[in-house]
Amino acid sequence: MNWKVWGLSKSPWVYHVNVGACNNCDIEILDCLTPRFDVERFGMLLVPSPRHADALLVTGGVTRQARPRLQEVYRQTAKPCIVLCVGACACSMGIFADCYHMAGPPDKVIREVDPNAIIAYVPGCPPKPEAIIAGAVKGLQAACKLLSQG
Amino acid sequence: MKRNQLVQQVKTELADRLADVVERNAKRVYLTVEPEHSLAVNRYLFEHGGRLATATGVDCRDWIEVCYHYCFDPLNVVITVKAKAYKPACELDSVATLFPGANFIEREIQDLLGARFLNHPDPRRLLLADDWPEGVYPLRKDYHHEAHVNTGRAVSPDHGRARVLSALRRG
Amino acid sequence: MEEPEFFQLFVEGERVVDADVRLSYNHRGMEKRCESLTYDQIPLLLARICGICSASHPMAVANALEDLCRIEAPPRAQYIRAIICELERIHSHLLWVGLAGHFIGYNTVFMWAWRYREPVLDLCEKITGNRNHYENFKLGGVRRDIPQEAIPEILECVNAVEKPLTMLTKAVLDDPVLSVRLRGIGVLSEENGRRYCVTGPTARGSNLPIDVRRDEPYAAYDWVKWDVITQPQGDVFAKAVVRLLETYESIKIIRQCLEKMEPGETDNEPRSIPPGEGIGHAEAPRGETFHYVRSDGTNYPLRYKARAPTYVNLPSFKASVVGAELADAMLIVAAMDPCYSCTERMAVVDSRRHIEGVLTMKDLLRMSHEKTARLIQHHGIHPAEWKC
Repeated sequence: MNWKVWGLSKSPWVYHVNVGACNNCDIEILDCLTPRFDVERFGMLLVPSPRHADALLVTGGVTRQARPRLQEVYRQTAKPCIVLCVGACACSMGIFADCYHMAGPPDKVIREVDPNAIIAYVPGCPPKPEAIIAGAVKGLQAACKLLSQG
Repeated sequence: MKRNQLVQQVKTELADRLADVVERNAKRVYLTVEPEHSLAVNRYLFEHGGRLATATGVDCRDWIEVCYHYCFDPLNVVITVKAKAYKPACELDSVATLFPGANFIEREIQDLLGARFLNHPDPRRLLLADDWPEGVYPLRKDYHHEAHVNTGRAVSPDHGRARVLSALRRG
Repeated sequence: MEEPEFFQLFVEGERVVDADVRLSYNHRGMEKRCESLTYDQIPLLLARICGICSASHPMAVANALEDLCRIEAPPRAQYIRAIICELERIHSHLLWVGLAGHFIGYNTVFMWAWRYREPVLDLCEKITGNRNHYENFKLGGVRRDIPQEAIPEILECVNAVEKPLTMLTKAVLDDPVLSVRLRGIGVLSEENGRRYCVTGPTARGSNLPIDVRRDEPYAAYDWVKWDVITQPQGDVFAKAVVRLLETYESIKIIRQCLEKMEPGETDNEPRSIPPGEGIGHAEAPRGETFHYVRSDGTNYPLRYKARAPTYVNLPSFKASVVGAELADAMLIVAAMDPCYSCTERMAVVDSRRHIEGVLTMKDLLRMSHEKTARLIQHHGIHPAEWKC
């Protein structure tokens, strides 16, 4: 495993982007930082800029207005990175699938920019913080495996 | 003042401006007005203590009905003013000229239903995306979803299909 | 917390002279979607207008549909509705206190307020099945009853929240730095409050005694005793006080509901929806949620309108931020407790020097924290004396 990938697996720095969520998944993500779950003890930090991030936490189905912004954020994120789609809306647009202002689920929007993007899904509405942490850990392990294989 | 006194006063003082009054129950009163009287009736209700909760736009085939909902909190009554904005122009005087609370509320109806509010202080697009085509109003009954989803191109709605569907709905 | 919307502040030096906001990032098109959903499905969709008003929107749906159908839910269902709405209010206000603390620079307040939210969320999960989107309210009643065995546990949880709430309230009210930091900031006058038609704590903090629970009682609010909290000053401090004291009222309401609740039906199970119209509103933690439904007698609404409280409170930001310092801008937005509590970016336009730049949340947070540090130094308060 090369050092970049190893760094990704150990204390991932996370950038959180909301592209049209109801905010519930965002609250559960912030809950992960609070004393009961406290992911900072694992070295997971929420960073203010995608350029510092190892992982992108995307919540919400992508609205039409947010679509170019999500693609821009993905382009700015330092590679290699993993995209974690948190919540039913981020996995598949969820209950908003037939709404007129939706541009698609985040994975489709990101794959327009990078067909080889590594994307993991954490379903739930909202997924509990335990689920988000478990999903992040599994996703990172799988991503590191994929990246080491080249 | 009591609730029934207010309602009575509204019915009396605005009698020449109201096309119809429906008291659905003690707490819900619906006034219908023609477009030229919309501003005056709105002004009356606001000046007599009404709080504009929101306005609903409804596509009623030949007009867009803009329902301004005023809550009179201490009296426990909601008085709704239904102003008809006749197609194709769909114009009404803007209530945002009276108080700023109506600003966003009218912009939303403008975006989604295509009603035009004359003299609105800030008639910019509010809710729809920058690349949403002009002249396409999603909340209208003849909006054709498949034509617009994910494409960003303006496509003419299928008037024939919409007519059949709305006829079926009316029974 | 991330929410996509775009604020534009026009400044001269450090003072804000104008403000603008671009929405649309969160617009999903739910009202149109409601026109192809049945009346039972609508509360499930509309709960997701906002994650933290997820009881208030379904409550307004139930009120609107019951107004349309001219029916009332059975008493036990009304008590259950009030209990769930008040539990939501408690954890929402605790969330707000935490975020406000974070913006000022008191991260301990953030951690502790959110830590004390957790038992309330666990309780919600036990009663309704989910920490947030409760899916419990429907036309005619509630979907799930609260079993009698759960009542001592609810009481215990609510009693346990009271002590940390008192600690946080004292921390806010007695702290000399917070007093200086928050008083006189972002004042929304009573007159402006009325002209912008604001609701909720934003209104009650500006001396406007509007509360749907008292003005048009729904659920069990007129069967229990509680007070509407108002403050006259209209600044950020006033809004903080309103939210904190309201949380005590919520605890009072829950206790009384649990005491008065009798066994009985929880669902009237109405079978048909007549043509007509209905209006329903509910008091969310942020203000009034207002719903309007027009029915043509079929299973699907002709038109469904749902208005969240932030939609009317947000324009008042312009009235309260003009004249304020840039370092306070984020706090003033947060004081409205918008359903999007902070923006990812604020564009700052220096209209005097015609310089335009985009400040990130990090920049604005830093400015806010720096101002707090300056005030602490100016007032000669040692960090060990911070009551947190």
